[in-house]
Parts: sequence; C-alpha cells; structure tokens
Amino acid sequence: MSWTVFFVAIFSSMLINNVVLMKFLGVCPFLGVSKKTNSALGMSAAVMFVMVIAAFVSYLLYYLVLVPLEIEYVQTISFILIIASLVQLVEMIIKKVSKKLYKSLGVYIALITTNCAILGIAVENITSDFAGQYGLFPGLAVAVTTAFGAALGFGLVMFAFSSIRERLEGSNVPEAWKGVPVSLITAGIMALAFAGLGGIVG
Amino acid sequence: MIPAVVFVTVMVVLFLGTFMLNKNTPAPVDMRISDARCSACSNYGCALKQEEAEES
Amino acid sequence: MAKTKNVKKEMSRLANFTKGFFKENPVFVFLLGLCPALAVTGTVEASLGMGILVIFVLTSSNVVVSLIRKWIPHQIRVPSYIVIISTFVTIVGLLTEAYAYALHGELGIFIPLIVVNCLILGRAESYASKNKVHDAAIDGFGMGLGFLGALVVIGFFREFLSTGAIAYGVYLPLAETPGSIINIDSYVFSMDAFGQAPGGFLVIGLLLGIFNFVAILKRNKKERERQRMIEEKKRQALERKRQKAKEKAGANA
Repeated sequence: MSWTVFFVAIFSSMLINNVVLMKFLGVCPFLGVSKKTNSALGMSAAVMFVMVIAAFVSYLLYYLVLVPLEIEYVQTISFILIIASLVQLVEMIIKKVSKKLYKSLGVYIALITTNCAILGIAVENITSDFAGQYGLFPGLAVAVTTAFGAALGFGLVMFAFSSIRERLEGSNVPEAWKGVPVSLITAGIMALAFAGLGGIVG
Repeated sequence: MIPAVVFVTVMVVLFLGTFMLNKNTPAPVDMRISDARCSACSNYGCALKQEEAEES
Repeated sequence: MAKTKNVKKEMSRLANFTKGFFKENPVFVFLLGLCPALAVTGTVEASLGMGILVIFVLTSSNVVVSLIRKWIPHQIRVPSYIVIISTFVTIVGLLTEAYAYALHGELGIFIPLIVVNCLILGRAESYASKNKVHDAAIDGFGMGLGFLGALVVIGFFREFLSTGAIAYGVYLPLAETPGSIINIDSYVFSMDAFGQAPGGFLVIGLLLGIFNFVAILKRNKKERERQRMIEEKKRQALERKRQKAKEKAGANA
C-alpha cells in the first residue's frame, strides 16, 4: 500500500463522489444552514469533527465487535446508536472544555445527531470493504481518510453554495422560485459541474 | 441471537447514558439551545429557526 | 346529535388521513426527507419501493410510539424514538434483502438511512407522542402515502426525461418479465443527466417552483375575489344610505 491510496481517497471522496452533490447525503444542512457563509463554515467544521471520529469508531465497532460475534445484521441500529452517543459525548466535552468552541460549534453539533452524511459515510466505509483490500488497520486509516475527504468536500460545497446564496439574496428572482426552489436549481447546476469531474481518478 | 440482543441492549444503555450525561451538563450561559426538537432532527425549518435565533 | 358527532369524527379522521397528500405534503411543503427524495428517485420503481418501505416504517413506529407514549419519560423520549425507528428499519432492511433483492441493491445505503429521515422522527415527536393509537396509525399511513406520491411524481419526471420510458418489473416483483408502460422509444432527446445526480436537484427545484407558482395564482385570485366582495358590500351600504337619506328627505318634505 502506497501513499497514493490516501491521496486518491481524499480526492475522490472530496470532489468526484462529493457527499452532497453526488451522493445526496446531508442535503438538509446543505439547504438549511447555508444562508450565511459564517454558519455554513461552522456547520462544516462540526461535520468534519464528528464525521472523522464517527468513521473511526464505527469501523472499529464493526470489525472488532460485530464481525467476531457474527451479528453484522445489527449494523444499522448499532451505528446510529454509537453515532448518537458520540455526538452527545462530543457536545458534552465541548461544553466543558471551551466556551468559545461551544459558541461557534455547539448549535451545529446538536443539529447533526441524525445527519445523513455521518451515518452514510460510516456505512459506506464498511460496504467499500477497506479491511478486505488493505488489511484491518491500514483499512482503518483509509476509512478515516475517506471520511476526512468527504467532510472537506462537504465544507467546500457548503462554502461555495452559501456564497452563491448570499449573492442570490439581492438578485431578482421570480416570486414563485424565490427561496428553496432557486437554491435547489443552483445546487443542480453545481452538481452538473461536479459531474464533469467524474473519471479523473480511475 | 443472544449476543445480538445483549449487544443492542448495551448500545441502547450507552446511548441513554450519554444522552442523560450531556443533558445534565449545563451549557455555558446565554448559549443554551432551547428547542429540543432541533437536536433530534436536522430539520430544514428548525435549522432556519436556529439561524434566526442566532441573529437576534 | 350523536349522529352528527359521529359524522364529524369520521370527517376529521378522513382529513387526518388525507392531509399528507397535498396540504401537508412532507416533501413539497415541509421539505422533509429530501435526501431520499433526491437520491432514489431516478426511476419510478425505485421511488415506489422507497415509498413502501417508508410507509411501513412510519406506520409501525407511529403505532409503537403511540402505544408506549405514557411510559416514556419525557426527558429521554427522543433517544427512545431513535431506538424504535432503527429497530423497524433493521427489520425492513432484512425483509427487502430477502424478498426484493434487486430493490435492496438499488436503494443500497438509503435503506439504513431511513433512520435519519426527518419525516419519521418528526411525526413520532409531533403527532404520535400526543395521540391515540389508531389516529397515529392513520396519520402515519397517510403521511407515508403523501411521501410515496411525491417520490413517484419526481421519479416519473426523472425517468421519463432520462430514458423516454417508464419501466416496470425491474426492481419490484410486479411482473414476470420486465417491460415498460410508456415507451416513446426515442433516445434522441433522452437526457442522461436527469437520471443522475444533477437531475434530482433540478427536477425538485422546478416542481417546487411550479407548485409555488400555482399557489400564488390561486392566492391572487382569492385576494381579488375578496376585494370584489368588499367593494360590493361597500357599494350596497352606500346605496342603502342614499336610499334612507332620500326617504328622509321625502318625509321631511
């Protein structure tokens, strides 16, 4: 296994298989918290934080507990529970450690308990079978890198989209298409652009 | 079957435990999130409400 | 008296059932569950399958939440709902894997993701936890049908625009051999992008815009009618006043 694996993992999960625009994970925060660039960045930071930890923990949980016990079929329920507990723990620690951090991330941490993207990436790391390809612990590294790349992609798209929406605010949109419809169409055009990146990495 | 039940029970207890622990940890003053429903669901309308609350 | 009360109750039950179709449609009005609405609506059949799964999960979780609503401590209600919902999603996932494997393959990661569908948790929290079991069941079924309807509408446009046909029997065991309902058999104008990721955003955005447009037209019409009514009433009142004044003048003279 060479270093290019990590590069490919980041690049493909960030740009080619972008979580929001290509896999439709985390569309709710994408539309909900993208009115201002500041809140979009806060949300992205919180997602990155939780996503990386969740990928790490869920991977270990699956291969060290579920597989030895031969109870892979409780994957869904155990993942959602471990992620939900994790979010609670993270929120609690942030509350205790830093008031400043809580002020900038706390709102969003509470919002992402049931974010599609977190659970989606955790499940996808298992279905891509990194452990089978690279071995258990190198696979873990690849899984965490993929999650990191996905979170970067989420942040990139959030930032771009919120900037567009700030511009959109002042523009003359037909009344019926104001607000969500025009945002969705904008997102569609962004997705078309991202679709053009497909096939860069084989 | 039995390990699955035991395992899921452990997970549920872990979740409820962390949930209560988090709930009992007081948030720094003036930063409390009032709407409990928001923490349940990354709901579009709810997120917007949060944003408005932040502004005011 | 008793009869009218009964009728009223029946009506409200019917209203409870149908409210999810148009007035409180989860996708088009509340924008709940947009992830699956964007992701699995590439074809009508996949949308239909997803809708059926959501109906099952929503109805059963609503029933269970409503059944145990009095025993759940208020503080831990949200985590309990998450546990209940994820149990049903696990059941649904295993059932589809056993009986509709093609559908399982097509929906893939979006079956476990039903857990985090805002619609289901939202209904559990805002309706099932406050109402009787049969009402909760009706609400869940109606809302689920509304969700399914929205998904199928989106899926129809996407599949038709991307392939020029509406296929059946591919993912669901509807027929012995797969075929298609509408098939204009033209690959000349088929637009692949609508079947892929960008199409989801575009189609939902356009549909939402069109619905808004219709709603605005209706509202304007209503507003104009109301204005006219007010003016009519004003005119009548003025006329009556004049009449009275005339009579008074006549009497005085």
